[in-house]
Amino acid sequence: MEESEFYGRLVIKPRYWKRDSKKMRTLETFQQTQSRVCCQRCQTWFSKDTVALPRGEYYCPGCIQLGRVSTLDKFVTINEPNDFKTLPTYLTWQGQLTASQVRCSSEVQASFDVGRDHLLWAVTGAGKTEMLFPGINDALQKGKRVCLASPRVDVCLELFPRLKAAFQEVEIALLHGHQEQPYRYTQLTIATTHQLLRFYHAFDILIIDEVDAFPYAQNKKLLFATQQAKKKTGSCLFLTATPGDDLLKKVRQKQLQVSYLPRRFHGHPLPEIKPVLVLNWYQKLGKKQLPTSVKKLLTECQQAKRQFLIFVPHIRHLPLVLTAVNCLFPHLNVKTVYSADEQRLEKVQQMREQQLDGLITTTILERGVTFPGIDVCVLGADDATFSSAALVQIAGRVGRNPKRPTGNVVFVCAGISRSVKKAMQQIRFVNRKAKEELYELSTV
Amino acid sequence: MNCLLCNRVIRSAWPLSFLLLPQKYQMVPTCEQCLSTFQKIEAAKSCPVCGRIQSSTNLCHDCQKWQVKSNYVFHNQALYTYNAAMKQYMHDYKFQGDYRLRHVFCQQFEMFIKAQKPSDFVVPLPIDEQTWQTRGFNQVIGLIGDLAVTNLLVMHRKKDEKRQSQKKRQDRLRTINHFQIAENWQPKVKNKKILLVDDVYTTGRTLRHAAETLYTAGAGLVECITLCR
Ligand SMILES: [Zn+2]
Ligand SMILES: [Zn+2]
Ligand SMILES: [Zn+2]
Repeated sequence: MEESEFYGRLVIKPRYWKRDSKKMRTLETFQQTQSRVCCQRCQTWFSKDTVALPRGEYYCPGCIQLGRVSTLDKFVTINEPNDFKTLPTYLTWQGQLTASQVRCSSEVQASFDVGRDHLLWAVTGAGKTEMLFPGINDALQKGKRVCLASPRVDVCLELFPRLKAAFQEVEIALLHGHQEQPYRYTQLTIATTHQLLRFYHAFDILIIDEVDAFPYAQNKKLLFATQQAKKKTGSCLFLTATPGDDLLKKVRQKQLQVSYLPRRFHGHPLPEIKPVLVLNWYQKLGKKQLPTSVKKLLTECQQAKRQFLIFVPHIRHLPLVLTAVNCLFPHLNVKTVYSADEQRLEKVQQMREQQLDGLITTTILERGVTFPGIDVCVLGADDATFSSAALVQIAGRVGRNPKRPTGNVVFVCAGISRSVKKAMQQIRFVNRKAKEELYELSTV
Repeated sequence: MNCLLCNRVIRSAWPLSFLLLPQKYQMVPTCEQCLSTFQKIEAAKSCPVCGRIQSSTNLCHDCQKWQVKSNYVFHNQALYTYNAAMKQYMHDYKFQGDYRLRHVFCQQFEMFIKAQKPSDFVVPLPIDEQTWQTRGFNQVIGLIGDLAVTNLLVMHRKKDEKRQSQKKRQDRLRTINHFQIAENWQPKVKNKKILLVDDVYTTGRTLRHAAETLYTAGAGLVECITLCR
């Protein structure tokens, strides 16, 4: 193993392992009390009897996917030395930022410079990734170590080629659970938030995309991972289109700097949600029928050769909706996809390549994945599986194409739930914010 | 309670007879759906020597080859086939080291062993000291549950030797026997009937090595049981 592979990392060292370097620090893997143990990688507590091994040792099932940690092991780490050859510039991206992107970008950069945390509230399709480029470039020039993390592997996979194209001069490591390439020490890293558990005060800049997305939100393990992965002097940038109450509270208490990016890069407002009350949409499915509003939407899509996404609350709804769509629209080429679907990536790719007319899916495609010019329909939008954040994200799939900045967002529900109401309010709020900003910019 | 394999909440209707079982048998650690991915082997549809699932009760291809080479009585019986679900299970339990997963099979496996003809000693295959230092448990003993066992055998392996599972099948068949009778047990093995227990029967090489060691020490009869084949 290269020494650099220990820089800012928590590496499991088996007891019999003899190799040592002066720079290496050994850390305990567990904290123990009378009856419980706490894993020092993921900070999860377990009662001793559930995680005991036969010879009086303990292990952590909480982060076992990253390689088991037990009291038979120690961690070794080497303090992050920022051992990088810095270049005069890293950014090879030639694009232009809009005025509001420039404003946000410099606010973020100011936070990076003083090492404080920052929230960027950017609507879906605001071009927040591009907006990050100047800040990342500046940090790299200063020899800082930068990580862009997302709770979702699909988002990481989409970000990787975009960052590679924008920063051609620097090597980028892509880390996720299915990665077969071995780990390498790089100045710029893209990782799933789970992978952050392997780091120990490594990053000067840690950017968390989609903070409100499952499984990051409300996951103590991952919140802890964020703190442990960044340097004590480092700063964290949270990106979201739908900030949760925790983040907004910190903003109100002035613990967290905030920047708004309320307009899409093409300048048009977000398409508003059209709620349709249908009491018996589920029973209709059983009779191979669809609600009138959905039939109307699909007819429109078919005539205009437009792609669409249909969201359902549960996997068990997928075959029913597929049968109904196949029955009523035999000429449409439609597939179902869900999170554990083995062909998930292939199907999403087919959709991107316009080989499919539409996908029927659970919430899994709600973020990160963009299909330009689509329409969206949610069946059972009032179901408890759809949080308001998820609904805003789903609505945000629409109108991403500058050639067609509008589109249909139909929510079929038996009643307006709190989440549906909150999602509609959030979209109106940012659209209002965008108008205000437009006014400010024009009067400066 | 959540399923140990898929983490979903287990909801099941208990049959009345279930409540009459002792407390420990009432704990169900795995959901029906996960359990249904494992395939049981019926004795009537398996190889009479190694317990492999097949349509006939003739000697399987592998066992015919073994028959030419060996001159001792050997017999194995397995509870499950080594299918994709079982491979995944073994990966998570043994190689990833999630010791909690022993509960998925230990009750059933214990009952399966108890249902065999009585023997003088039930002997789990041992692991070497290095595995104790890394894995921290003997996967076979974990699967046996509360059954009384005798640690008749020990395993010694040179540090730099490759692990069994990392080798190709051909290499495996050629490996040397690392099993020895544990200290002080040598005189007690003579003419005894021994039931060897292992987790997986792959080539049969490991179990045959253990059996050979026991027969050399004077054992009367050695039979084997594995969780899967
Ligand atoms: Zn852990
Ligand atoms: Zn299960
Ligand atoms: Zn056979």
